[in-house]
Amino acid sequence: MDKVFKITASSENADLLHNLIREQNLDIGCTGGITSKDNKFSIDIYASEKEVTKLQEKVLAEGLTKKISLETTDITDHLSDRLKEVGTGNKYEGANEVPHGLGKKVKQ
Amino acid sequence: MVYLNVQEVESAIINLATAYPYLCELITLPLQTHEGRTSHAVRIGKKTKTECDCILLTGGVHAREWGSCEICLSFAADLLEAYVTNASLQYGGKVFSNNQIRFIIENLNIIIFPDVNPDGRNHSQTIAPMWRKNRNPTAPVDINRNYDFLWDFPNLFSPSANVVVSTNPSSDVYHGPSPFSEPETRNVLWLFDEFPRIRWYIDIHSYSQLLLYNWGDDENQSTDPTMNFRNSSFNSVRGIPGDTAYTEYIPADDLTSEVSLANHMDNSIIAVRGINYIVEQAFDLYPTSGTSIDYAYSRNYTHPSKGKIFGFTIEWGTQFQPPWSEMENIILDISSALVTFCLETESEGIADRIVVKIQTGDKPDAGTNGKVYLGIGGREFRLNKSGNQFQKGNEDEFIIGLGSNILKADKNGLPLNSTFQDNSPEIPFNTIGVYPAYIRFEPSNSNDEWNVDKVYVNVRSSTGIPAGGLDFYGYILNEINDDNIWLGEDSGLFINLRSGACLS
Repeated sequence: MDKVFKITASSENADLLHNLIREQNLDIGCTGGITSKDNKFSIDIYASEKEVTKLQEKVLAEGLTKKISLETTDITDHLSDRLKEVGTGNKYEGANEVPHGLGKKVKQ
Repeated sequence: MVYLNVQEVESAIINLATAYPYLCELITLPLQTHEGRTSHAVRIGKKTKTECDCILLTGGVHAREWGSCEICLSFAADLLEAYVTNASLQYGGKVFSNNQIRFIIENLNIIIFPDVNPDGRNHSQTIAPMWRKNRNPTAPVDINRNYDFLWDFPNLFSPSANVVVSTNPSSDVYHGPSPFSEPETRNVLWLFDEFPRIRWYIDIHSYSQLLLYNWGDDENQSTDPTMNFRNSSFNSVRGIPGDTAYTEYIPADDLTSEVSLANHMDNSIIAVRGINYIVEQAFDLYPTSGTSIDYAYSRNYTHPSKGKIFGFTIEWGTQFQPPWSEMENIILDISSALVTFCLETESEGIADRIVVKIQTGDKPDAGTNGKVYLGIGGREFRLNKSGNQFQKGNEDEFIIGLGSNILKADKNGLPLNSTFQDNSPEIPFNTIGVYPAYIRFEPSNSNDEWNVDKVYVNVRSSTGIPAGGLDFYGYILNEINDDNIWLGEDSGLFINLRSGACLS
């Protein structure tokens, strides 16, 4: 599996983050959008190694390193662990294998 | 249990329908996916599809949001098993009675389509965990940007709007070559058309712990019906937050209903293990076009012959693929929200009867001659009936509305000077949960203190449903601790009540 990174981009200027996202075609779908806390805006971005490098270079080239911080976390191992939690085969093969929900059923 | 692969999701839904043939209809979706997969949904409910209203749930739209499918399946299995065994259903601290489960199964239809995008899920679970779109071999598409609602965003939004959607096929939010270009979106469209009594739609996504409601294109407003998504004169100004150039019209009643239902879901999630989701308009997340819930809600405006469908998106959890052990907890959170949603959708109408039971503590000087008020539905009612009340060790029952026993009631048995008048609107039942419920004490003098052991409030809707109504309670724990609450000028004058069915 190719390396995958989670980037938390933060800035005191939300427009800078909007521009960054728009210009770099970054993956931010369903990650909560730009949120604000303590006068600071931030957003979660998912990226490949190449995209991380490109993003860091852009921030550097445009002199934004003091205005946008990029906190990058390699989540490849986390994702590998999750892949190991996916079922193999078909546990519901055969009509008698009925799924049960996780709620607790309390008989009256 | 582990995350289900795509074959297991399909087999699970088929087997549920097989195991409960009198409660389920297996639905085979008409279109195969790009990779040739056939999708299934299940319709749950004792009534036929024409006899009652329906809720549609979809999961697995975005491939990487794995747990959405398991939420759908667990929820379906829980409802069916609890119903046939006449059991109550418990999610952490939230309990639903067997009567409530029976009410859902016997009065509603619920269509559950757990895996809208199986090709994408398979790709995510085998090759690329962060895959989001479908597997269109020409150019994969974000299913949740492919619906026919302001789909042509470059021409329908302000050029300055930060709409999270793209015409670039390499983008993760690529909206496709045309609205409904994808078999996955057309399968959902088919459900909307085939089941015209769908009135509520919940699309289950991840992540951010959000409960979103319409609209997603701009901020809501309820004052100018002409300012709406069909009005082309606003095409260059749509999608900018905080401005007045454009805001999207939603009738006030619809907005109230959506916010109320979302708040009920939030309260139900909190009751499981204390996690608090944020209820907000979809636009507050970011501007969107072509999404499922806005398409669902827009149908009634573009085609008035089609029924109105209220749209919601649940964004569960704090990551796309939490460890399974945490996913199990999230399934409980969201299942609780979904059961509550089912109960509340059929709780429309008017709160026509409120029963309040108050137990005064059995301690020296526990009683009072002061005034006691119930706050509910955004207003207050004086709890006052003939004879002594709030005396040491006694339980007093007050009935407001039908069969009222409180003083100063009108000829119909309803309290005077209230909104509970004959042939006039009372408290809309589905707004009860919007406002805090509480007991307020007004001491007769500065030394008057009142010891409260237990409070229980039941609100019944004019439709008589759901069975048991909506419950609020206070100070259950004090039964265990024998440590009742003193109210008075020095001790404080309010008791806030929690919603729940624990004492019903």
